[in-house]
Amino acid sequence: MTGNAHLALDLSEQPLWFDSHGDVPLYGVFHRAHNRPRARTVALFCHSLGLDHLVTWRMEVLAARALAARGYPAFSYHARGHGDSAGSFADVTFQTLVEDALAASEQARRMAGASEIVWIATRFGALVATAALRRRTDTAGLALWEPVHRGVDHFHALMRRRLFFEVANRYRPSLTVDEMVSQLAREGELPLAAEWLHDRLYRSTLTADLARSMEDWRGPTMLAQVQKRQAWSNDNAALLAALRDAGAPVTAVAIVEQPTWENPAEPWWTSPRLGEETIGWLDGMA
Amino acid sequence: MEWRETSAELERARDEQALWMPGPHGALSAILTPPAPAAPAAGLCVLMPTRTRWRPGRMPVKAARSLAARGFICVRLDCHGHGQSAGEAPISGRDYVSGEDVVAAIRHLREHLGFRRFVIAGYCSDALAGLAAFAAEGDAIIAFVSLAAPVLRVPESGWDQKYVLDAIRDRDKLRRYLKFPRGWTGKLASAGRALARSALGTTNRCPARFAAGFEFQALVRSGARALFIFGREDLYYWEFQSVAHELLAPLSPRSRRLIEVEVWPGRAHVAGDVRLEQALYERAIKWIAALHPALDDRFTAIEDRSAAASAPAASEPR
Repeated sequence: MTGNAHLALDLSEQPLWFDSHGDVPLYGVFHRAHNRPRARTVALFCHSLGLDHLVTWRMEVLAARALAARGYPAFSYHARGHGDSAGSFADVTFQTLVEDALAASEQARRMAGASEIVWIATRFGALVATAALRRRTDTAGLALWEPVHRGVDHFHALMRRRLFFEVANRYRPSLTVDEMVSQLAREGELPLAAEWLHDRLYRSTLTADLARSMEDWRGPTMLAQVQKRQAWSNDNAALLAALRDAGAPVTAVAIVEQPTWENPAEPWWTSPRLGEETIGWLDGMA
Repeated sequence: MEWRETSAELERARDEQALWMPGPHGALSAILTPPAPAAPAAGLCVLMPTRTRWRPGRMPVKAARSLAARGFICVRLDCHGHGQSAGEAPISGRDYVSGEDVVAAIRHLREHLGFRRFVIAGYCSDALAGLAAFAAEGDAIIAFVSLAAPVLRVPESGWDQKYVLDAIRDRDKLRRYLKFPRGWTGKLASAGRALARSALGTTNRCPARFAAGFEFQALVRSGARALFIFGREDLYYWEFQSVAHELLAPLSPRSRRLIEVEVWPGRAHVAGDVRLEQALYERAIKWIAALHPALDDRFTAIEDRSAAASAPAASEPR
């Protein structure tokens, strides 16, 4: 650990820094369980990227506090090049995201004195968490909040979002998605709406695929779809069916709401129901 | 090009500390970046109120570590209801900003960590939260940076008959409206109302016209230096222009010299334009870095406000 919190008013919530691979200090927050600690498991939040990370951070904070109040220790962290951690976003790759998630899982277990981890993964964090948990044997459960199913789809959606952003802000849209991909390869980076994309990260996630990553997973799973539509998306429906066919205990939650994924002017979103559903799912596992 | 962390900034990241401070809506969360031990101490605490400590584009993080590497103490503060701070998230904007959080942070940092002189910097409404703190803590603030912040409470209150008539005669502006007609019905209604009423003019001194937190008079009374950045095509700049005479004309030459207004070509406020937001913060870093007593020949004695009074004229717009 390279730093310590001080002047904490609420000692149950402990901000800290811990080292990941390559000696990069990462920011983390440990939420000590109140009341009746269920020390066997620790909930580990695995965040998304860029604007998504900003939009959902408050939701993670509130959910971690609610979990701790319910007796579950929880740990949140920022990967390198994100939030309050060290590092440049330009140096982030899918592999570093997974390394940081693994380092966070060690830190979380150590601080909670827990033997098992429940991953709570948001958006792109689902790809990272499922890649990380394949390298561990201590995963007790997996909650997916509006998961991204394929890395390449996610980044192409961000490129389309840039086009909307340009039109909405009276910029002249200058590049198609294909041209943005070319520019990314040529120049190494691409400005998007409220975030950058770097070629190293893009190329390293081209093959990231949630269904493939979860092929061997049979543990308790919660999938929360957070979309404006009532019906399940094709990807979520297929994942739910595959998990059920494989015999995994699955809880499916549809939250019909549109978070501000695409609004950099008001990048904050919380959902009390998502927090309650996640706690209910964890209670059901206990 | 997106900013890259330097080795000096990485070193500052290693020393960062989390702070909890009591605020009017519950505990406030902040990150303190201590100054580099080898750098000459600036004796200044740069406080950045934010609505999530790394918004926009992690630039407050970059700014804190960059300035700390040059000898400044830096604190990036989650305003209440955001990030890890307690409370409900208010809808910040022209009607409400979290100025009381900034005041609470200044008092805590002074009482518990001994910081006495502050520089406040913020983007958009977060700048107004900083400006709001001048009413209660102006004596403690020696400099202020406003990056693309609103000025008026109701945008159209800057539209009077003259403004609308000038706009109609401005062919470039008309051409832009026709080319990008987003929101034209609202603008047409605003223009109609402005033409229908008697000119609001710049003599209406009702402070309610100004955006919440726009404590310009308190800023002037404090004797602090200030940098306001606008984009020539920003609505915020049009607002500023409509009241610029009212705000600046009564100032003494000494006070006027302390207020710099930079007008950038195009726009300075486009939420989500990462290149623009980075440029704003890079300018803020440069401006604040120049306040360092070891570097700033003009302000060698920042403690001595009378020394500041003899400063030369404000810099020219970029």
